[in-house]
Amino acid sequence: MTSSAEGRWLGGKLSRRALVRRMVLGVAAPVVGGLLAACAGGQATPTAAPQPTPTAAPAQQPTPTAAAAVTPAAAGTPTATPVVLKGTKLNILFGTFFVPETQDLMKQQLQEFGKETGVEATIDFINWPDLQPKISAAVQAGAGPDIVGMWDTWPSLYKEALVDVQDIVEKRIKGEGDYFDWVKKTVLVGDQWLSIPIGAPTSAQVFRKSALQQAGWPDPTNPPDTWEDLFKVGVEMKKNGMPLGQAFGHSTGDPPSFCYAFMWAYGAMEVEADGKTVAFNKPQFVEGMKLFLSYWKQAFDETGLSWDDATNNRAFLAGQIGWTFNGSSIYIAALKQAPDIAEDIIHHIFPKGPAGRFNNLGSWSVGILKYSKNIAGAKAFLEWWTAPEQFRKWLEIQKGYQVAPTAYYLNDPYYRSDPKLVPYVEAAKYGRNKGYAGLGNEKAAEVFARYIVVDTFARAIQSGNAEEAIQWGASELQKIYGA
Amino acid sequence: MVGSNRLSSRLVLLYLPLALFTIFLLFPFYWMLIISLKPNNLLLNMKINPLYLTQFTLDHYRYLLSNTDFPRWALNTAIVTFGATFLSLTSSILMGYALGRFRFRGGNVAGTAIFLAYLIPPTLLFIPLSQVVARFGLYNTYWALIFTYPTFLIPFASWLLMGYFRTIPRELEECAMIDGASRFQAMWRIILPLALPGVLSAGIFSFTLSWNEFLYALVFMGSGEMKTIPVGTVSDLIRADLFQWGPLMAAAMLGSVPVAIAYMFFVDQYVSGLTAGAVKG
Amino acid sequence: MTTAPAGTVRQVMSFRLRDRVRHWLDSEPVLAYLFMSPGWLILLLFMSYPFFLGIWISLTDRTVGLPSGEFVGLRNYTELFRDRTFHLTVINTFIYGFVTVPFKLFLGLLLALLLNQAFPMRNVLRAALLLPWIVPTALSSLAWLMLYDAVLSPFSWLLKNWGLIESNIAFLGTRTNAIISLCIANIWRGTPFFAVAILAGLQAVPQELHEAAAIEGANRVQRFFAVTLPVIKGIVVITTLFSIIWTFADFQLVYVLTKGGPANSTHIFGTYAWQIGIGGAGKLGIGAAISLYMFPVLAVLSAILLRYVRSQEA
Repeated sequence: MTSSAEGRWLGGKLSRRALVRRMVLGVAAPVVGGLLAACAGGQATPTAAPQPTPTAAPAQQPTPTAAAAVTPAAAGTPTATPVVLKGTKLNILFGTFFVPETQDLMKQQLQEFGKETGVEATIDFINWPDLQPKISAAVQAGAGPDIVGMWDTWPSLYKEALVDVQDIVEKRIKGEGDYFDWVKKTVLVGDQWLSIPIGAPTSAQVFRKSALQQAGWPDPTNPPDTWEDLFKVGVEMKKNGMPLGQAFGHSTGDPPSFCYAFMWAYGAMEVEADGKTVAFNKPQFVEGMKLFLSYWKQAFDETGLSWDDATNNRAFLAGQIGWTFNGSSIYIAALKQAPDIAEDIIHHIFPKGPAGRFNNLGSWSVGILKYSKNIAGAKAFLEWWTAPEQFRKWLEIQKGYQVAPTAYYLNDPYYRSDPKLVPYVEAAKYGRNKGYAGLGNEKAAEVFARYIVVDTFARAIQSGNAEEAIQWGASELQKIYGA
Repeated sequence: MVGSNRLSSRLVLLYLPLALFTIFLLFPFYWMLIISLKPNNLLLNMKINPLYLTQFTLDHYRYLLSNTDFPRWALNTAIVTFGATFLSLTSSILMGYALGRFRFRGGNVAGTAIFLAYLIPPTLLFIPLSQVVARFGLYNTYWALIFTYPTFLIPFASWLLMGYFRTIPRELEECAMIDGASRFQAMWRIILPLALPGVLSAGIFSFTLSWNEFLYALVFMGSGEMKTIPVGTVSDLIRADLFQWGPLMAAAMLGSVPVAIAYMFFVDQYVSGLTAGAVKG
Repeated sequence: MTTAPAGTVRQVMSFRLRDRVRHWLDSEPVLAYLFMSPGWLILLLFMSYPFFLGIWISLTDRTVGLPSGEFVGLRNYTELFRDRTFHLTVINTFIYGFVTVPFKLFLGLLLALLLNQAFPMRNVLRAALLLPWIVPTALSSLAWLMLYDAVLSPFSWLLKNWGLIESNIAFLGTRTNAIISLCIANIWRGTPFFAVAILAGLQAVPQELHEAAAIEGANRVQRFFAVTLPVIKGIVVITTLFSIIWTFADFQLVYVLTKGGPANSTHIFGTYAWQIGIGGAGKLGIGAAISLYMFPVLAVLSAILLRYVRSQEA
């Protein structure tokens, strides 16, 4: 075959009839069909539902599952049933869960709820970094899931778009007792409950007992309790090829859990309680940062600047580091994949600094979006699901990975049965919200999303200049809180 | 043209550079393949050489096909890809034909305006676009993507086809029209068949980009059963802070195969289609 | 608009009417607009309209949770002027665009020249070497994430095994490393596109001219510049400009590999707009303004592209 069109034309000076015949056999039919399709498509008006055209793709009709949640309950022809919710639809959006069975359980729970009420509910899970864009686009578009799972500080971000759920929260408080302080500070918007807290996974120090032992730590079952001791033993551990491993990349879980905790332990905060006065550039914090920098090369795995939430899990399970901050996911994964490592793991609560012991903790919550066509159904579901009967199952299947938002559950066997996991529950006592001493509001959310605290550390590590990095952080914070 | 030591010159000038290119361009795929076949317990074992397999397993593929909705994602991706390609191609053929063969006022302006479409990156567009999609009631339907993908397909495809149509002599249709054929008959039956390589190139181009798209697919319909392969893979196989590398890489392999096969068959036509369109364009 | 030569329609219509419609439809301007309408309709509805909506958003203080927002004039744009991270973003985008494209061009040209020669299994190799460009970036960038991983990277493993390094390389851990790593991944993905476009151009190079030049004693390099280059110049220019535009507007690779980190040092327009706008901070107005700052650069590039295309037409 010649390669250019001229070539084809010259080489194929066929009679017109031959050309025509070839054309009719080959291309005519689909192209004409396509023209029709293109026109039908182009003329679609906002009101008209797109009509399936007889084109190449036969199954182009919207499937009646998740999508239909947006449209009013068309199928709702109440045939003398007392339940108003019967036949309505509900779509829920959550981040993915580390313990995969959680997702199966939630699907089961939805089915159960469906059987009881006749609501046809579906749930989607999306990986963490993509969750917020999806919620944001849905809010902007005014269409999408009815219920969303949110991270701490998000309720403030989406406050205009969320339905007030005061009534449900009051029932929870009445039944299960008041929420922890860090929960209230991260979920309450002003004095309004716009979503229902469901607790959060927390971090703790994860050690390899053997690495501590090798490094000459006197009592490996009682690991370092202060930041400085941790760094010191880190030097020995690194000499033995088991350095401290900490992520400082742009990732939402592990980098903040180190950086916020360290900042507070050395007396600095984003803002004072007034929510306006930046309190970041504190002499004590500069000293602390210098201390940290002096140990960075000697004690830490220096690739940490690029790590994300998942890297330390891999590094730990690959035997490349002897310490990290993490949720219990490393341990739970090790139980399955590498029992010898699981055996060797010890957990410990956050280290102390001169200003005390702190742990960045903010509660996740579930909220209903105002554009939902089935707010009644959504409320009914959340009330049913956050009540102990269902909620406990949900906590239990996560094996203690998720810390409950009230003390009511904390003595349950799934938190206490494995002594190795107890420090995670203890960590809840030291929880502080992002934005402390202010509220975990949209400003704290912006600081978090711009990674200002994390990047202060990353800058310091890159430049070796603690003062400059903290000044930079303070000026960035000023732009947000001072505005 | 050929030296006395033909073989050794070919070795140095052809085979060696080709080999280097092959290594550079295909190594990541080799890596994907290895990881997709590697048992989980060996993944983090740093004592063994990661560059080849000591044991292999099909578990990840099995997991992907039976424990996730991968087949469904593939179906969605196929529907959307064919729909969007078909729509873009039809509009682009018409557009390219108009711009390439008709003399009319505003032709140049129209041609220019097509290019402007490239100035608008999807990262800017997708928030306002999500409002448009919702307003038309397309949210979470195939139509959401079938109508939005052409926005980045039509400009390039039209431009390519415009160039292609220009290479076909005008006398051909004029001749046919003197013979009594209408303009449409002349176009459908004479010009289009000649432009087939160009159409094919534009089609393959559209197919590729639609198959690969991530952002719109995530935002406009990434829920439930409506996920496409890239979206479903990323959202179902990255579990919180744990990457399921094996199935992820298995999905990457399976997600690439259809496109790779399409290219295997059509690479010659693709190239020749680009030739006429691009050189004359 | 059912203009298909359907026999039934023809029979129903009277001869005179048919002739008039036919005459009207044969007029070039009418047909031209008719033909362009489906494409334009799609572009107007799903591109121009949201684009202007985007410009409007950039002039407001809209946030993700608030679908309205107040008009603030050019404040979002002027604020970015003082934002140091944004300065870095601009620099990074230029590095990313103008460093990778020459590599892609050179390697692509080389590859095209190689693939244009005859050798066994040529088609298979042609298709296979296109793979980086044709597989979903969302998935191939995950492979790169792994190749650059601080734990799993086979490069680190190999170098460590050979005793050349002691600890794993932080491919994405410092600004320089990360930018180089991103550029390599981008070159990897973009080279095949250049190759296939230039390969297409090479098909138009007349063999007779090559042979004639060879008889006159021109060597390979001379022949390339005298015979090949003039023919493929057009496609090289156009591909280059397209590639610069695409690289400028890239998002996925950087998003998966670094998300702009460490310390905001690897942001490009797309990822920074994402971080500020949709991905967390929720400031849609500023996010849109960041994206729109790309506009002048892309506009200049497109103007060059257009001028070039025009000059070829003349």
